[in-house]
Amino acid sequence: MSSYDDRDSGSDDEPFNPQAEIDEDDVPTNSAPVRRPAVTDDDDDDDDDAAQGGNNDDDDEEGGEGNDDDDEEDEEEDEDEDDIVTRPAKRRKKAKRNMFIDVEAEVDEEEEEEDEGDDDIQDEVHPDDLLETTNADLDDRHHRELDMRREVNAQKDVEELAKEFDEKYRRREMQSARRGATGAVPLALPTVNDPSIWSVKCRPTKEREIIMSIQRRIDEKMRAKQPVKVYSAFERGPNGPQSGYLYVEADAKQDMLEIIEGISNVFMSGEMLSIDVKERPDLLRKKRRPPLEVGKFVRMIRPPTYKGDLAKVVEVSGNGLDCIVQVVPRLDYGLNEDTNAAVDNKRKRGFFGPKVERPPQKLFSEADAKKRHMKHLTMAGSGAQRQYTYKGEDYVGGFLVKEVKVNWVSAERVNPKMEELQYFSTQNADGTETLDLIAVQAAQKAAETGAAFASGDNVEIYTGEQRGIRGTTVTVTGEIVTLRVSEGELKGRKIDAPVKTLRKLFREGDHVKVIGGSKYVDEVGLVTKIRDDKITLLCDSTQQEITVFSKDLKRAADSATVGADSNFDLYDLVQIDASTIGCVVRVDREVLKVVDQQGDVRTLLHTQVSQVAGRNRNAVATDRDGSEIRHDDNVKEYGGENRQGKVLYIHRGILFVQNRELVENQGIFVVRSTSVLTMAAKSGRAQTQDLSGLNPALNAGANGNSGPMPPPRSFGRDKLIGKTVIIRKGAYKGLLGIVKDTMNDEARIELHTKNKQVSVKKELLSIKDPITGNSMPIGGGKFPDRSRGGYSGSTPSYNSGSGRTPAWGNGGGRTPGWGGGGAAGGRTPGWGGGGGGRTPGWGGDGGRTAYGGGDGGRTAYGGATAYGGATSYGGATSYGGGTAYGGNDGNRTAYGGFNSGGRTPGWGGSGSGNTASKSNLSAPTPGAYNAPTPGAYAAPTPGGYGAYSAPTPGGPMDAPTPGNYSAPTPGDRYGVTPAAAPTPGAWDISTPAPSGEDPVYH
Amino acid sequence: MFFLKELEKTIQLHPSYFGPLIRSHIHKELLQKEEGSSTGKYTIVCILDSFDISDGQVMPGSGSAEYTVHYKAIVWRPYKGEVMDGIVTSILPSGFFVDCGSLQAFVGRNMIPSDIKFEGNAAPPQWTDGADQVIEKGTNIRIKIKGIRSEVDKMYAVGTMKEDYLGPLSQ
Repeated sequence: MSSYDDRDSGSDDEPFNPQAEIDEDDVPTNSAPVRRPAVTDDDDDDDDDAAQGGNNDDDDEEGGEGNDDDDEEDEEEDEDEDDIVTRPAKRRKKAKRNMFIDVEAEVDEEEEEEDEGDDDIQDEVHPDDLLETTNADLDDRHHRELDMRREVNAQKDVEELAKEFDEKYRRREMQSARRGATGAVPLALPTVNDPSIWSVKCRPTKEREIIMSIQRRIDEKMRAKQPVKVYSAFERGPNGPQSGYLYVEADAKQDMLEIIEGISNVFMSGEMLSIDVKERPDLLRKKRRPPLEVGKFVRMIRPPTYKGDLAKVVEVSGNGLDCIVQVVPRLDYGLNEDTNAAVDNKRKRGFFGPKVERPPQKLFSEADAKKRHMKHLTMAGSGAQRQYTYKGEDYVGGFLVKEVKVNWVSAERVNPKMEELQYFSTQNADGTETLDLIAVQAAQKAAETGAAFASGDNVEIYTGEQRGIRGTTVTVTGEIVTLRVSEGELKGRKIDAPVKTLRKLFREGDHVKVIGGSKYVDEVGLVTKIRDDKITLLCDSTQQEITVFSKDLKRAADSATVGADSNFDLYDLVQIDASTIGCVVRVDREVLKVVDQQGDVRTLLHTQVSQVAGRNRNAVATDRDGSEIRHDDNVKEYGGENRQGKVLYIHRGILFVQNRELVENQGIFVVRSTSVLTMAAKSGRAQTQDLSGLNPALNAGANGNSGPMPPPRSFGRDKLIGKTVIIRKGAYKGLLGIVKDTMNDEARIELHTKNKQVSVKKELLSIKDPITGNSMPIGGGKFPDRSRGGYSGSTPSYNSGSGRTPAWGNGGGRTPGWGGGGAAGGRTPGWGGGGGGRTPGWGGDGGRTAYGGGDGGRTAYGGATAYGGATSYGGATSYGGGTAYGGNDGNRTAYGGFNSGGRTPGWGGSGSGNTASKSNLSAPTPGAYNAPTPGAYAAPTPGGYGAYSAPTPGGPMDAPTPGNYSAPTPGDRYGVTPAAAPTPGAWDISTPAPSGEDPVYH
Repeated sequence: MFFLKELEKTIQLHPSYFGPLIRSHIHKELLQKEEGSSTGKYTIVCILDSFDISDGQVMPGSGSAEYTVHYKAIVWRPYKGEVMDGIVTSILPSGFFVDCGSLQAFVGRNMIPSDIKFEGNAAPPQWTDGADQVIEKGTNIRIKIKGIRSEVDKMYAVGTMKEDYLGPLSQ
């Protein structure tokens, strides 16, 4: 069955039909004769045979025509469209044949009519087939049959003959009249008397195979001279709504079943419906195939290398069978050639082996071609017109220009994507690129269906009479969209418009999501520019501008996630392998982009990433100064680019830092923790302090033992000034000098050697005794000065305290102050403030605050030494700690002791009386805020603290004390307080600062 | 645009704060947590003084107390089409970012008049028309909001400079 084979192979060319109009007419025309036998031959089963004969002859005929290609082409089309509706096809061909081969054709017609009219001999059908096929194979038998028939004719009545002729010509006239008419007049629509057509379900894509099987069966039957009771069988191709169905035309269902029974892939159990008479013509309706036009975009079907690629039609040949297309080449320039491979190996692979990866699309590159395949390359022309011939193919302007058969390309569902179109953009003189927008739009629109629109979309009609109308879609039915007009005169009206005239309407600033058509699927962004169908948007995730077609967009409800089905989110910390982690900076559908701990960007498949590592809550790193860094702290690079940002992740001393203003890697960069400085971590942390951490009871244990105490501060004039020092490191190493001035951690030193002042870090200095040359520690303290950061300046309470405390800081100030009431007055509020400040602030910077108090508090401890003896205290134990102070006075490490004392409930209990709280409130320090702290609550307790507070009022010590304390405190206790007098002695030693420094005390 | 808005906030307080000054604590909490925060729709600029604190309720299990505070605040909500002043925070070849208070806005290349061009070689990089209009980091600029995107606690906008009276302000 050559014809069927043709059809099979030509499946793809099916829709292309240069002479489509003939077919349209033919369908109804042809069906007329088909029906007739059925109508008239009800009585005679033999007619089936006749029908079969028709079938057969059809095939023969095609076989005969196989010689000349053009005809075959035509036939193919017919076939495709009618799909084995044998009769009609035959008819048409006969008619055509008649025009050229008059005599034979007439005979043919005539005979056929005879068939119909007389139904005499079953053989009679064959002759007319034979007549048709006379060109091809002449058979003796046929001749004899013809003779026989002539005999029969001769025997006929003249009258009869006249009638026949009359009928025949009348019909022909009708036919030609119909052809002449503009619209097809459906004269021969099927009637109830025609054979039924059954639809049978079958496995989709196997339709054609099944038809072939049926055909074989029919052939067999005919060979065996069995009656074939089926008129036709056809299918409508594997794509389209009728895929999975098979149509069989027969008089009885039993006949139909007989012919399809046992054929594989036919679903016999499925429902077999007889197609309603009215619907039968629809079965054969042809879908018009869009004509190929120059400049249009098409998709390649063959060759396999370019399958699915976008191509632009450059030329369509006159006969409509070939076209020249422009494709972006896929060449590997011999780079992947396996030179060792056997020659035939390659060929084999093409057929059986796994599909070889085809090279990516890339414009033709002369340089690449020359590398290995110089011998295959020839050039012609010059400049922009330069042409290359490489391996027998032509390349112009980087494109492969290839002549292909029209059925190698498909103009349907082209749906070009933006990325693909980039190649086809043409470079203007000024360097800007423009696309052939009309071609693009045509291609886009051709593919567009109602599916691109959803109810509620804003749309605009952009062509046709209704151009300019804007509205929102209400319903979408197939290709027709109903929209409610939102602007203009028609406002509020509902109108229908075909999809092709619509485009989605967006406005600048709209928040939209890409829903298809490009690699940017699922990106969300704000529209920044609209030009025709092209919309530029600023992606939320990447802050880049991308351009897509409006049809690929929809209004986004909210911020969306890219790669919604991915396990990974942007900025996730992921484990790449055992030793590598990275931060996700881009999630595509297939790949992740990850910045690893070295700061390199890797592109990984989702499957290559084992898991999300997540954030370790407790992760802490230290910056280059030793300050701690936690998540969300702001850090700044020290040196380098001075980038700054928020710490997203801490991983083994490596920080993933985010800065939205950076463009690369979504603002993520990787730094070592030792090369950054924290910027506002401390104060920041204070702001978000954890309230539960404020519980004094909870903190007592935790903080007392852990965390080193910050070093004491010294106030006032830097003791370093005027000292003779030696520089221990750096350019000036070993030089002696005198410190002239200091600032923060630097000192200006006047060198002994030359008359020059240099700035040197304090930590690089050792103090020398100017006379003996022996080294002395700086400032008498062993602690490096770590005042950088917030320690001194940042804590409000400290500041407030410092107004008062400088004298205290100097230690010596305390002692004299002790004597004077003013000192005591100063001390008490400080104390209260200290105590108060400490408690709430303990967890965070409160620690620091506490020091403010601490300064004052220390003094108090001076007194507390004495208390050590004062066992009567409820909080005596804590005072035990305090006692330690007495001993430790000289060096200030005794802070620890102070802390413990301060935190003990006893301490709270020992808070001063009313005076104390008053002074708290009056103090400008945040201590006021801290008033509710235990210190303040301490008021009711009659503790020895009364002793402290006693002096507060500022009166001379002796006067208020008895007055105040006479009631709550035993006199002897008070008496003890002054006993603190020994302390001053102790303090005096270490703190030489004159009390005169503090005016308060005088 | 600024609005006066009545708002509600639930505040949890640790037991250590229970005492006579509890109200001031709540007040402080409220100011600290709410002022300057953004809900994605608006930014709370300033909480007005008078507010109403409900009775506290101790939360089972934790001992903390929960207070519902009703308060009035001045809030700021940017609108599409609103013209606002801001400060340029960064310059990119594709446009520049502007901080308008709590709102970060991007002005894309297409939203900048065509005579103002990106000058990447200048230090710092800038958008300029070669005359008196120079947009660089720190420039005060007037833009019009074209679109707003809200996230949970932040707002982003796209702005334009392509209309009359928009652009860098004379310093």
